[in-house]
Amino acid sequence: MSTIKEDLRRRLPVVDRFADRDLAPYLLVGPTIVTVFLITIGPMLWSLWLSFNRWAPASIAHQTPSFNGGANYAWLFSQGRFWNSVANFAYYGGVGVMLQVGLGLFLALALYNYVDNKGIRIAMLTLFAVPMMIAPLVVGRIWQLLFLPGGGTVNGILGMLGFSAVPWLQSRWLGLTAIMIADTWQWVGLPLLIIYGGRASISDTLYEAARVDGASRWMQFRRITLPQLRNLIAIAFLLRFMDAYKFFDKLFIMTNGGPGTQTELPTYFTYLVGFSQFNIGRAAALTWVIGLGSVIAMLLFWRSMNTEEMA
Amino acid sequence: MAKVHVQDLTKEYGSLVATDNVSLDIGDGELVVLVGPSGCGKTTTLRSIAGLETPTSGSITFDDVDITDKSPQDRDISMVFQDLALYPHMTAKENIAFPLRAEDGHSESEIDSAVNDIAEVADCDEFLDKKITSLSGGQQQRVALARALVRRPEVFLMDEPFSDLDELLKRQLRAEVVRLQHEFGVTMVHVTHDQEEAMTMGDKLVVMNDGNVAQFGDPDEVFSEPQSLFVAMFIGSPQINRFDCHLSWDGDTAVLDDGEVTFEVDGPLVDALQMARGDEITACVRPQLLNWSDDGSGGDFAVPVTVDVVEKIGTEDVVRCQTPNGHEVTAEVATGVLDEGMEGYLTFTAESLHLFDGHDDDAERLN
Repeated sequence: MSTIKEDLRRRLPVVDRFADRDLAPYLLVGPTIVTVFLITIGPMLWSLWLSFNRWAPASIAHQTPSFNGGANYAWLFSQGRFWNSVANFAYYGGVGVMLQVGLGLFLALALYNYVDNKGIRIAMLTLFAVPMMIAPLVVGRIWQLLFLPGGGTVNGILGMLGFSAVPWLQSRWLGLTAIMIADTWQWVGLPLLIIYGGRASISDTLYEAARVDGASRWMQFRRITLPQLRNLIAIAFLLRFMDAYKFFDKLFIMTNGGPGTQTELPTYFTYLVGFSQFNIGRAAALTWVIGLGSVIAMLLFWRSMNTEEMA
Repeated sequence: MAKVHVQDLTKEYGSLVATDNVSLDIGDGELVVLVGPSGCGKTTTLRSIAGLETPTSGSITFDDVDITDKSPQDRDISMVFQDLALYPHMTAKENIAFPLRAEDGHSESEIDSAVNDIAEVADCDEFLDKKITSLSGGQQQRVALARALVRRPEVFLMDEPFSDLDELLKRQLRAEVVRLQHEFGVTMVHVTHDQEEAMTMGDKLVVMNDGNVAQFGDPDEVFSEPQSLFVAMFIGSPQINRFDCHLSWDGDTAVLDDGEVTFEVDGPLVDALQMARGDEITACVRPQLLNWSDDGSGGDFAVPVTVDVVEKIGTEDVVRCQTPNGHEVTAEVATGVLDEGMEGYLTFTAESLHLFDGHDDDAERLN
C-alpha cells in the first residue's frame, strides 16, 4: 500500500494532498467507475430524462429536447397499439416460454429415463443443441418459408394428413404462434440441456429410496425430481424469459409486426417509434415502462420461488 | 414380519459374478448380518432382497410368497442406505412421512401422529422441522431409521449406514438399532464390512466371500468354529494367528512344521488330520487363547517369541510378538504383564487349535 502511495506521490503531486485521507484506492478505481458511468448509468439516466421530453430530431418543431412532463407516458398508455403489443407479449412471453421450458423438461427426462443407449442419448442432445448455433434471422427465414400458406411445407404436410390449409402468419394469433413454434424449435435445446444436466446430477439412491418407500413413478417425479430441479427450471425459465423480453429478429423477418400492427411486441413497437418515427422521447418512455415491467415480473417470480422454499 | 428365504441367488454383471448360488434362511424377527470384505456380494444380496437388483437366477420368498419379480414398491420392505438417501429438499418430518404418503388412505392427522410416535422412539423428535442438510451425521442417521421404521415393514434392510460415523456414535446407534429391532420384532438384514459390528449386532451372521456364503451361523459359532480359513482370518480382532504347516507322520503322531515351529499333535486332533486331503495344513489360534510363559511350560504347544510392540486397549494389552525367524504372532493378555523386548513363549492348548485343509481362503476346517 505505502509503496503505491509513494509511487503515486512522486509521479502525481496532486496525490500528496489526498494522501493523508488515503484517497489513493479511490483514485485507482476511479477510471473504471467513470467509464461505467459514462457507458451505462449515464445514458440510462439520460434516457429517463428524455422520457419526460418531447424530442423528435427528424421533425421541424422538436429538433431539440423540451420538457413536456408526463405527456409521453400519457400518450403511450392511451395507445391501443401499445396495449395490443403488451397482450401479445403476455401470450408470447407467457405461453411461449412455458412451452419451451415444459417441452425441454419433458424431453430431458424422457431422454434420461428412456434412452438407455449412451451414444443415441448424446447424439440427441447434440441435435437439440445445433439449432441454437444458427443465426436467428436465418431460422426466421427458413420457418417463414415452411409456413408459407400456399406451397409451404407445414401446410403441405397438414394437407397430406387431410387438414385444410392454415393461414399461418396472416392473423394475429396464428402469426404469433408460428413465431413461437420457430423459436421453440431453435431454443428448446437450452432448457433441455440445463434440465438434463440437473437430472443427471440427482443421486440414483434417492430414487431407490423412494421405490423402497413405496413411491409410484408419479410421486417420484412430483416429490423428488421436480423439487430437485426447481432452481434449474427457474434459471431456464429466466433465461428464456429474458430472450422473449428482448425478442425481435424472428418477428422482424416472419411477420414484420403484421398483418398491420397486430403481431407487434413491445420492443418492436418501441423500435418503430424510436427509429422509424424518430420520436425519441416517446421511445424512451416506452423503454422505461417495459423495463420496469420486466423488473417487477422478475421480482414477483423470485418472491414466489422463495416463498415456496419456505413452505 | 416375515421369514425370508433366498434360494440359489445368482447375479451376474456381464462376466462378473457378484453372487454365486447364495442361499439363506432368515427366521421371523431375526437380525441377520451379512458381513464380508468389499466386493464379496453382500450388498448385491441385500439389494436383491430389496428388489433393487433383478437376480440372474434364483428366487426370493417372503413367508413362502415368491417376490422375486416384484418391484420394491410391492414388497413391504424398508431400507437404510449407505449414504442414507434422505430427501435433501425436505425437512426431517417430511422425510419420515414420505413412506406413509406413498401409501393410499392415510389422513394428514394419522400421518402426523405416526411420524411423531416413531420420531420419539428413534429419538429425533427435537429436530423434526429442520431441513436435512442442516442436521449432523448422527441426527441424519436417526431420521433415516425413523423413515425406515415408520411404516412397520415386513423386512428391514440396512446397507452399511454407520460406516461414516465416529466410533462412539457408531456404537450408540448399533445398540439403538438392535433395541428398535427387538421392540418392533421386525425381520432385519444388515450389511457391514466391519466384523466387530457384525459380531455385536447379529442374531446370525452370514460371512460372505467372493460371491459365496462362507459360513452361516450365530456369532459364537462363527467365532469359535470357523468353517473355512477365510472365516477364521476375517472374523475376530485382533486377527487370528496362522501357521502354514507341512504335515508329516511319526507313527501315530502328526507333526506340523511351518519351517520354524513344530507342533506334535496326538489325541483327538489326529483323527481330524487324517481327513486331510494333502499335507498342506494351516494351524490357527486366537490371540485371546495364548498365554505367556517364561519357560514354555503350561500348555500343549509353545512358540518361542520376543515381544515387539505392546498396544494398550484398556483392560488388556494386544502384544505383537515375533518368532526368531520374524513370523508375527499376536496375543491378547492381561494388561501390564509384558514389556517390549521380553523373551519367552506363547503357549496354548490343543483345544484352542483350529486346523484347515490347505492354505487357501476356502480351505475347510478339519477339527
